[in-house]
Amino acid sequence: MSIFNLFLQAVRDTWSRKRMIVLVWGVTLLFSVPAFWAVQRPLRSHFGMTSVPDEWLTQFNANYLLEMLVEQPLFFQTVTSVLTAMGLLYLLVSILLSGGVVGGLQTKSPDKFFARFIGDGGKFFGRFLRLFLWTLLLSAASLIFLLIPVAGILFVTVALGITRCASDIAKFRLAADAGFKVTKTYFSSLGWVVKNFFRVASVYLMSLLMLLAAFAIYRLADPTPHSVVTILWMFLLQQAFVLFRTSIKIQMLASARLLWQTAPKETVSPNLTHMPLEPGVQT
Amino acid sequence: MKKFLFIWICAAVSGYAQLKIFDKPLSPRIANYNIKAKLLPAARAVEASWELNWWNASADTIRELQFHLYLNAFKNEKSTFFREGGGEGRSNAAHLTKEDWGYIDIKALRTEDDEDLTKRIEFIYPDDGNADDQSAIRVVLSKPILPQKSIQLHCEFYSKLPRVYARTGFTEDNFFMVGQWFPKIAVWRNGAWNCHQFHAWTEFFADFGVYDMELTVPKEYVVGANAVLVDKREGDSASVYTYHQEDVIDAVWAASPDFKEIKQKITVEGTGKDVEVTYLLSPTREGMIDRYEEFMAKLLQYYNEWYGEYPYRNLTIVDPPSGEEFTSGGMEYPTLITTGSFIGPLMVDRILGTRWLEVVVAHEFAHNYFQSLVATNEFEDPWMDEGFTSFTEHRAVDRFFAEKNLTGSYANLLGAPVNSMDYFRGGYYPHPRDGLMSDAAWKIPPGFYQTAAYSKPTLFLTTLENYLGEQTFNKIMRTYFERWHFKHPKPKDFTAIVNEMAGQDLNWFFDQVIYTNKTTDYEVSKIENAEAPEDGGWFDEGGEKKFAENQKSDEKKYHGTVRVRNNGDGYFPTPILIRFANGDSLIERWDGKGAWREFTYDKNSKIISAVVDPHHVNTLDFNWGNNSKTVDRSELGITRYTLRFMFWVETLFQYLTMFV
Repeated sequence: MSIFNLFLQAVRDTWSRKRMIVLVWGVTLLFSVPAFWAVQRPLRSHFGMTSVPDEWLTQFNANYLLEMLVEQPLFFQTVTSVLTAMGLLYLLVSILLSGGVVGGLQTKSPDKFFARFIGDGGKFFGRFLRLFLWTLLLSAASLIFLLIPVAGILFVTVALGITRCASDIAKFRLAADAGFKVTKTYFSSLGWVVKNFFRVASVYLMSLLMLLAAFAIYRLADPTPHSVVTILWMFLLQQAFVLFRTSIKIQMLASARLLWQTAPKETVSPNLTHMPLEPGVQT
Repeated sequence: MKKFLFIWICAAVSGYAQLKIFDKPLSPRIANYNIKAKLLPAARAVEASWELNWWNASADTIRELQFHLYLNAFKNEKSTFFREGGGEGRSNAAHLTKEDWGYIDIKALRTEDDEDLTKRIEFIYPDDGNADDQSAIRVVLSKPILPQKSIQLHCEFYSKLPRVYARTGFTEDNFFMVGQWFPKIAVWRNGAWNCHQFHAWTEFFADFGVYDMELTVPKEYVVGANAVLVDKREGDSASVYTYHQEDVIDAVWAASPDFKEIKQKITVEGTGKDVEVTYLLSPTREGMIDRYEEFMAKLLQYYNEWYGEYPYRNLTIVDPPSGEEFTSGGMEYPTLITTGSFIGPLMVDRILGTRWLEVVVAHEFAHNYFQSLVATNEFEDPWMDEGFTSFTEHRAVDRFFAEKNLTGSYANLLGAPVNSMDYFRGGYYPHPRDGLMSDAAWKIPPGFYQTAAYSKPTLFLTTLENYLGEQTFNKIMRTYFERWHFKHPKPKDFTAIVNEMAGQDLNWFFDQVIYTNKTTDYEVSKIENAEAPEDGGWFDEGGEKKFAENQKSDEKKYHGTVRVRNNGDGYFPTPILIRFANGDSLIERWDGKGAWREFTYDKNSKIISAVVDPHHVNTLDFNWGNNSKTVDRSELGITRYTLRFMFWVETLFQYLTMFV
């Protein structure tokens, strides 16, 4: 399968699972709501009866906010506490979700979507958590190369990309083999990604280009909101962009699955190949 | 003696006669140096000598000389600089090794008559009595200097540079920032030497003069100095750079084998004169050159328009190596500034939309006007250089980014613009009363220097500009520059010009802001709309009592009240904008005196809002959030930004889980 066809297949695989995209996006939105309230409520009580909100409709003046921080130091602490708590929770829930996504990408059956999704999430949670910790550790370690100017930045970017791709590949290998050897699987996936670097990088880059294009459209369409209608439009656009980013993340996982499946290799788990990718495609 | 005379004649011939930049001296040329220096990279030091021609421009007979030995601030932990700052002042706390300390040793000091003054050197500590501080010295002369006479001295010295610290020193990769590195004569003023020690938060003060420098460095080094390059000779292993500069207060240079040198010729709009800007960029900074060039061309135009002509032919901009942005970047010398575009290469400024490069360049170049040309005493009146400079920086970045139609002159953080005014107000209102703006730098309480020297003066000048109008204000600043460049003004000299040009006595304002820590905080504390009483009841009319029925009408009348109060102890004339439900609005004027003031109206319309100082003329009002009050809630503006905040939280969460 050519790189481009593989990419297209990943796009199709992703968008044929719309419920999954909406679910993951919905969770992201849900987790950001407490942060919204943590900011909205004190601002309303502090500025609601002043002309500051009207001024902000035409021009943002950070002064007011900074003054409020001096007057109400607890505001900042509350917001950061909520952000930290929700961020950590979201991290754990995301690990659960990624299990659901990996399981969901391996089947086309629409039956009992939600139950299967949660079931897969629970099934893989422990393994994917360890996988995440390995990825995080290696990614953090690679940051040391930032000390080298220019070349260091390039190296770190590539290293982060490789650890991320290896993590995606390892997820499918663990899921397909029903294996528990996380460390071994992750490091062998790392080796595999390095060996197939250009193929892997090309597919991931195509996804990133899609994201970049969506970002450009978002920036162009993002209005300067002065009224209820334009604020609503801004909100819808923002959420559409978050939803699209969610789809790209799933698409990268779908790409990883296809990359691993279609690569010429010695052994492929029989469990992983039970479902044809598309009619006529041999794995 | 003969040898010294020979050196002196050579210096005179090679130095002073070599190049003449200005037809007529622009300054009194009191302290004139001819310096020969050799960089010793391995020793992290400079071996040097100078010939000083110092002119007693006063009517006093002077019996001793005083000098600054700034590098001794970095000699040990007993220096006043270290005691006050704990090694934290200006840069990273140094866990210093043997090599990291800096000092200056005077090997020899002689008069033109070959009289050895070396043994007469005494350390002085006029500010704090710290007998361990060696940053200032005095030398008693056997022959006094008569009024209007000069003295010639010869000095040999060894300057061990510290690991780059407080904008002077070396780095591991052979970057040398050689500033405040030679024995520098103090300023004779009002019948005495003005020679302060080097404190944690003080800077410098010097007289104008002509500088000739001959710098010998290893051949692979690229050098930049605050002077015009006259000659460069290359030997087998070393290069000799000869520089000349006139009418400046300091000599400074930087050297590194890694500098990329880029030159730009700018023809200043308004004067038609050329200024050659030399950029010495560290590796990874070359990508910044377009931003530098565009902005510098604008700055020369702005400052010429606002204050007056930049008189020099040259300007050198040093962008230090990565990691040294705070230790050596952001420093000012006449015709040489150091910057620090540190977030450029990582593209953080692009992602976050910060304008660090422009902010630092605007600030440091403004110092060429305030302190290098209008040579105020940075020890005693820090606000007069840092304050005027910060104010200029604020004006420059505001104008530059407005001309480019970009919001946020300091940053555009993820869609939320941050302007320079936000920055300076943020540096003022958390602690507006902690000290006085008029305090000498070493007397300002710890933690208040930024407020006293930078933020509050910026707000003071901005308020003055808002109050008097741009035209009058520009006239004030141009007059101040014109009368005081190449001189040493004090605060009263500036305020006298303001009063003269504004045609009014503004001392009430100066006294509050400069010499006391009075504050203003105007607040709309109450809006009330009561139904107006009808006109019923008994009334005396022509000696008779008459009863009138209540005149009920469909149109309601309201008795509206707006109360404004001042939570501070200072005052500032303040307008109040009052809006009514029927669309009417009016402006009330209050002289700002007293604790509160009430305005009442009987109208057939309710008051819907009141705003004190609606155009934010008084930037020293330390809480703008309470300047307005509305009758009805209006929260759309809050929703707009909190929704955007939520979007960024979602983005943050998605990036946080990038590796999941």
